[in-house]
Amino acid sequence: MNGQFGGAVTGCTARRIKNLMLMIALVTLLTGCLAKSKAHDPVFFPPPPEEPHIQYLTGATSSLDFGAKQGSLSKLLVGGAETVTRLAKPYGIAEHKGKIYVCDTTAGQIVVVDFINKTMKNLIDERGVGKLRKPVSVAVDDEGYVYVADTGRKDVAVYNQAGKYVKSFGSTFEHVSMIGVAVHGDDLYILDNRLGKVFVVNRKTAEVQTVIGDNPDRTKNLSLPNGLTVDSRGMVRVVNVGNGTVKEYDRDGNMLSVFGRLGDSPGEFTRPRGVAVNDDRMVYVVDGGYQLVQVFDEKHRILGYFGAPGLPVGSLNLPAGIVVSRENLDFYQKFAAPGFKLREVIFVSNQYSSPFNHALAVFGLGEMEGWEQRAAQRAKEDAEVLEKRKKLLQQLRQQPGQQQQQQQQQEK
Amino acid sequence: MKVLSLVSTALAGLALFCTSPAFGASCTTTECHAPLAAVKYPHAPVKDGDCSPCHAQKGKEHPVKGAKTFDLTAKGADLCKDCHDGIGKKRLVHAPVKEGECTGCHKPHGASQRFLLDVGEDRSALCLNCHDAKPFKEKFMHGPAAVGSCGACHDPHDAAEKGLMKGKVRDICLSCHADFAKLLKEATVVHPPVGKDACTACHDPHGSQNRMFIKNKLPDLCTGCHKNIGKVVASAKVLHKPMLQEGGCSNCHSSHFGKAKGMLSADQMTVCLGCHGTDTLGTPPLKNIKKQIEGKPFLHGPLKKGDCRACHDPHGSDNFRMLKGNYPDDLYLPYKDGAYDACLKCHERNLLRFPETTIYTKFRNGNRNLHYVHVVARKGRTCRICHEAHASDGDKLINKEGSQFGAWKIPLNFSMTSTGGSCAPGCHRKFKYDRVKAEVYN
Repeated sequence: MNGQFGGAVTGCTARRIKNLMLMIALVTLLTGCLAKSKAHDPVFFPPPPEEPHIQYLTGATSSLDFGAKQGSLSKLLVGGAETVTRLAKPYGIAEHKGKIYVCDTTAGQIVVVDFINKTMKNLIDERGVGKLRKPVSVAVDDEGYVYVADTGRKDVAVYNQAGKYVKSFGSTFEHVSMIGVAVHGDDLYILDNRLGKVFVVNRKTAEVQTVIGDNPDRTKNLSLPNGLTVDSRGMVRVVNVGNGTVKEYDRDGNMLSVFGRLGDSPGEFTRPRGVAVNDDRMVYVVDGGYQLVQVFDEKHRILGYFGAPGLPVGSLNLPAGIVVSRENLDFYQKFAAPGFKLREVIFVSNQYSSPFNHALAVFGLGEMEGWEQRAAQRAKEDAEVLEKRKKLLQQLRQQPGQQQQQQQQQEK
Repeated sequence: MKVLSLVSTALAGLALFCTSPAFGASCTTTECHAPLAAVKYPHAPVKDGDCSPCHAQKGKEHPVKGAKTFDLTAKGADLCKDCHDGIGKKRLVHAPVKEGECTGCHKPHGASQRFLLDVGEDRSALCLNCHDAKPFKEKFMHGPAAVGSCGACHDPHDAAEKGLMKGKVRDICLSCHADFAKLLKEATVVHPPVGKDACTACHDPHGSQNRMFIKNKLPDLCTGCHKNIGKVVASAKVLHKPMLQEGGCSNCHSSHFGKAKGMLSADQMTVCLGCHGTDTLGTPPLKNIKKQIEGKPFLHGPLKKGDCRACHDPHGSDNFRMLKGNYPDDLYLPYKDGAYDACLKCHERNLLRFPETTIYTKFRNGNRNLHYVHVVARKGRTCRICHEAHASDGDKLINKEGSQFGAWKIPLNFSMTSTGGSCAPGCHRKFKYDRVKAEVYN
């Protein structure tokens, strides 16, 4: 019995050990494989044969993607200190001096990704009052202070460049759920999605300057706002899940423009999230439902989209945050296809990463060499086609008249 | 022996004398055909008295009354080509040459002028026998066409270029207009057709009803290519008058090349002020802009760069004073979207949209937008009531002595502080304003 029992126990243990060893070997193999970035053909949006305007460039999920020599598992097996930083479930992102600040909601951390210097580091190392719980949105001001909207802490926490906690915003006004933060000059814009308001707060005095979303005309207010950004002129754009709109406000709370609606056609949204505006006033809107980013020009005409799911590379997986930058274009140009000239880089956070997509994806906006001539040629061809159609239509319109005249002449 | 030798030499000499062409000169030296050689420029064989290259006797008798006793040795061009080979072999051949009608133009025995022609340098009488004379009777004529020097440009027999031109049209033109060619080479800005196309793109090489024998009157000639300008000319409510005056486009632009962009004779502002720098332009006279600007320390932004076009369309527009956007021509117009586009396309678009603002203007009392107060009212005051459009001696384009209000120069007495300012115009009592600590008005 004992022997049987003991024998059974011994056999089971041996099998378990064998299985464990196999698993370890498999995981080690997989880890080693995934750590290496794979070469792939350029991924363009729109895809060929259309003229490309956006290219998927690169991405990062952990510091291993920057070529860290030793993985965490291998370190566990052979010993050594843990040095790997991973993006577990990123959400809001911001850019400052070429570095990308990413909210990691599950890790309760702001991860600073520096593609230039190939580093990915946690910013904050606070245990007490400065500890982050569930950071969802981040902004960085001109002086390098980092503002983090944290739904776990229920405030906007401020950290210095070294990641030390400085202060918190939220005590000077009534709020419920602050899920967005943006900064422009001395103005801090804090979005409360439950109240449907944006508080414009002086970042130095914490005094509320204005409240966006308090208009007696409800059509000018917010509807389940889900993300905000502020452009270089200080204009705020807020995406609304409630009615699928992107609304533009000034700091006084005046609604300046509105576009978009709920739907499944180009230019319509289902779950708009992150939003970014570049210096040309082009608007990028992340849609968590369709898992892509739609791009609009300054007149809010849709230009296209990128990052649709199902691609071998360059697809998005529950995307959330977005930020655009024109810093370090020479560096990112190395990732672009030959002849594709970048004029802007777009960073998008994916809440989930996989072998097919990184937690932080980098796309480039640009043009392929000679596109102006091709566009001019196409415009010329289109104009010719239109002219032909116009002439044909004129002929068709004239024919009935001519036929009538001919009939009348014949009758005479 | 010596005597025999001399006799045989004399006989040989006689034989040679009798068989030489001079012996045949009897055709033209006798009374019968003498007039044929009695011209200033006889055909070489005629001059030599040798009729045989062209004429061959049919019978022994000559002359025979009422009958032709000589035939031509060949017909048409074949008669001439034995001596004049190489004519009519180029790509394009003059029709008479092609048809062998050499005598259509040339006199075969001789003529009063060179080249066996009855016309001299002025060949219009000859050429216009066949060619339409209309282009040669125009009001303005190209010199060679006016004096009938067709051969200056055209080859009368054959040529490789269309129109029997002696060479490429451009090259032919520039071979005479060498001074123009020199300037063209040195020019900084060249009208593209002048740089590469034939001059005949714009000019009629013979003549036309227009000065410089251009093919069409101005501005129609120019708008044939510059279609956008053509649309302006055809439809603009307010048109720049010089465009329709004599000289048309060339009142401002050079037609061939220029020193400045747009082929202007000078920089944009100098060209504009060339006319708009007087007190007598138009009825009633337009403002003397040169006088408005001179000595003024504060210039409107675009004027600092000499860019009149930033606000005005120099060809014409649908707006007051050919402005590029709407601007009221009356003194008062309450603000509505689009009514002040000429100014607000550069200045803050939202300047007049909101009664309260913290960003769109510094002319506010607290957050109260004082631009809004002045313009978005029943009696909306247009910008010109306070601001000068071109230049001023005070900041913010506000003249110290005030603005013209009919006959009265209305004082503004505007002054600024670091957080606001004050105004004591001829319109109301003195008011102060302060952006930080709002003034309370009783």
